[in-house]
Amino acid sequence: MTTGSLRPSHPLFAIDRVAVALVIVLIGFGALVWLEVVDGAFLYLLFLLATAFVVRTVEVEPGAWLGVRLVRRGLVVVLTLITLDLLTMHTTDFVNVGIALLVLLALGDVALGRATRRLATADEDRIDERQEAMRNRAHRIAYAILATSVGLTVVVAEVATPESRRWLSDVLNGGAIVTFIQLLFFSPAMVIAWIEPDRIADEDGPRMHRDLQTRVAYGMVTLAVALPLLMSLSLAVAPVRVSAFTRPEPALLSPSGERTDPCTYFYARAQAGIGLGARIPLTAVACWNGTTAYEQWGLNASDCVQSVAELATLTTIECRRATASDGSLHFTYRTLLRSPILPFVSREVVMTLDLTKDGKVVQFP
Amino acid sequence: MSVRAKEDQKTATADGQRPLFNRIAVLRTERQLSRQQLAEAVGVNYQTIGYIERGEYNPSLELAFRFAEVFGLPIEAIFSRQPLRPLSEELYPRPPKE
Repeated sequence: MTTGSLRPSHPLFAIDRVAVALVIVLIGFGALVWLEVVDGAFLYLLFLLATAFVVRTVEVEPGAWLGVRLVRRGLVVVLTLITLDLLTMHTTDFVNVGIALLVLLALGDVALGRATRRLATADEDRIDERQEAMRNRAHRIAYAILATSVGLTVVVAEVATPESRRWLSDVLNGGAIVTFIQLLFFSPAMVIAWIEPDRIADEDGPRMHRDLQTRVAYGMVTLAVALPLLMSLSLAVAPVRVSAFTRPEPALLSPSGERTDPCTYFYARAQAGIGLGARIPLTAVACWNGTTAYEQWGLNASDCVQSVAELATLTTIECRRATASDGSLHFTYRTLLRSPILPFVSREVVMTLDLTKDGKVVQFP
Repeated sequence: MSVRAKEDQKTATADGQRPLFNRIAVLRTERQLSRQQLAEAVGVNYQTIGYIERGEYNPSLELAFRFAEVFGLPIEAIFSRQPLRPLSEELYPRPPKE
């Protein structure tokens, strides 16, 4: 039974600690992934981490916007959609988009903990009879959902046909574990967020401290939400930054001592989007002999898988090398970048190398 | 389903209980107590006071007795299964119309 304002204690596996630990682990993985180039996406992940820590320092405000049932239900829906997205996500997308979604999921879980004032994991001596009843009811509902989910999966995996097992293994990729953890640790809080009525107005409850720290926290949360949208828009709006250079390759001598055909080293890199986008390189050495132009190395299908996506999905539309009848060499790599946050925002990037039989560069990139 | 059961279902609280009518808001105002102060006096969270006032949570017998002790009134003066009349009306009932 509580006396005075509610401040639930913090057991070792409290919802917020698990969420923060998840964020730290994910940031660690993110750091490994983006270790080579510190770009906007990595900085954004660091910003999310900083936001989570700043928000945690602000007092929970009963009756604030997170106390409104509609907002809490919206948060539950968003968390459910993210979990489902992770559950059905293909393994190849997990490194880029999956990590971003995991971070969003962890931040959402932190918000959920604040919205429910961590009732789901609060000790009994810190909650009153109403809160205890709500917590027990939430646990009953949550674990019924968990048992049903796991039970159905087991039934499909063990009882059903080999086709359904194959379907299950296709559907459940890396996100199955994340989904299980989410259901195990956070579904009681999600149920509380869903069923708890609107909080009473804070007419005489603890007042929110409108100090600088709170304002900074609100600003950071706003920015953390807005940045992915802005980064998504940058994919369509920001110009594609292209850097390119060519240099003549030193002529090699054939075994008989004759000079070989002249060649040129081509290097180009296109960067689309800010923080969310991709870096698309094109590297090759092409030669010519007056009759035809040809590649010494590069300009193959393998050059179309060198792109590095940053929180964006990348689809190859065209990857083609051709030698025209006039002997000129043409290479086209056309790719489509799409934002996972705003799927209607996309950008097509084309890398082209056109070289005549006399070594004249018609188009690059 | 009986008429009574249907009525109960319509007016059930969030946890499916039959609502309990109470005078806590009136008594609290009368004694110039904030929800926070009353919550501290009976040993619950102040949100719980709000939910009880709104009829969204039925307190346990133990908690109902604590309200009675704090207000110095019998339980039936604070809680009722039937809608409660204003206290003034109970103290000074209107004479029956002829």
